[in-house]
Amino acid sequence: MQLLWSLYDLISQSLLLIIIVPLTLPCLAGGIPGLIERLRRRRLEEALPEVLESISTSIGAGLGLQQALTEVARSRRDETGRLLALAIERSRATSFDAALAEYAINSRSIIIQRVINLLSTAIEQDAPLAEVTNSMSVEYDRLNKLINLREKEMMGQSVLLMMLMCLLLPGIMGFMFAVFGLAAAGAYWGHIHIVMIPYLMAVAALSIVISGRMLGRTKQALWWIPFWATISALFYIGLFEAIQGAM
Amino acid sequence: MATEREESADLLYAMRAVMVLMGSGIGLEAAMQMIGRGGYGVISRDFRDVILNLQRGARLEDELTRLTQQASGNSYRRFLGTLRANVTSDTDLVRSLTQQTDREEEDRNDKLREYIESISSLPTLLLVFGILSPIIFGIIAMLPVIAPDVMSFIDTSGTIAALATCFGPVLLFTVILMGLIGYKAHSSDPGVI
Repeated sequence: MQLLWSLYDLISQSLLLIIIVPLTLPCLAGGIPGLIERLRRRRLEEALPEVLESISTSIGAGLGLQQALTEVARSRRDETGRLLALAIERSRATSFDAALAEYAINSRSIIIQRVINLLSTAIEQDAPLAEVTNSMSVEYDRLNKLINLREKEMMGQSVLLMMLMCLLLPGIMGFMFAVFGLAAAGAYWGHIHIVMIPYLMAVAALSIVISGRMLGRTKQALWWIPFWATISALFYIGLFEAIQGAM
Repeated sequence: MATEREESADLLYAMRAVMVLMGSGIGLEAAMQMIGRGGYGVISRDFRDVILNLQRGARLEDELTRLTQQASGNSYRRFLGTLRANVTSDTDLVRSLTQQTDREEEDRNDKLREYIESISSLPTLLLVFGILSPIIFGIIAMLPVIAPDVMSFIDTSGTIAALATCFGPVLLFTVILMGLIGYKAHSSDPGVI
């Protein structure tokens, strides 16, 4: 209970913090599903070259596209297999094209939607599907590698930026103002919080937007602004008050 | 008219799609129609217009020339030029597109590497600005406490709280400056994803 009152005391030092703290939880509820959804979408996209290769092999062995897809759905235990199985199940009630379109929509991935679009055109034009799927498998494997390269290289920079701006900066500021403005020595610096808290929150928000942009998902990053801004501000005041209390 | 960034965002995907379809024996118009269905940004929009104009009686060659003249980026212009050359001179489009996509991919990789290099200094730079600005201006604001003799010619009876209010605009300026530095992450993005 005492801890809650201490937290309440810390938060009440800035009007901006009072406004942002209640927004943190709803925004996290918006940010976490986006994160899970992106991981799911990437898993589907990563599986795409393998799926296309299997389809190509099955068609090369004399199976039709529907049979090849049934085979892939049966052999895979992941999300791709589940979605394909669902599409094949639906195709019994509708048409195969409609089922493919539904699979593309359910995947919510623009890459998969492009592949299905390509496949539909190939079917319409009576193109050799084994060759088309094989070429697509090679092409999408290369594109996946390019996307992964960016993700891998930028993730480190993005996390570093967030840690530096949302944790290290408030830590240094809180420590500096507390140590050089000790209340015990008659130089209390508590008034500076009115300016420092909005500053640190703005810097945290800015760094979240920049790190989101670096990874190519700015809109998704916006959900995390209240959370990191709150963490940054609380860390700053918490450290300041802890040092002031201890010395 | 689309910008170079908009054109190049989906260009590699569109080139590969045309390459795959034409490599399987599908005609150029059908491939363009597929791209025109959507999913490739401004390229889809351009190709949809071309297909519509073809249905109204325009010639594919003229339409591709028109698009080439309108294109902002070199890569997109080159791609359209290759398609046009296929229509006028019946060139080996798949081979030309393979070379062009390889070059485009290499170019994209170089741009990505450059982007990563240019961005790598960003976190440190922002941290330096983020820390230095409050310290430098904080010291100025702290002068009445640290060195009261230096500040003796100014009336400091307004206390630190008054000085802290002057501190705000300076920090706001710092945030704006940091925003401008961070804009580099957006402006130099090669748009791989």
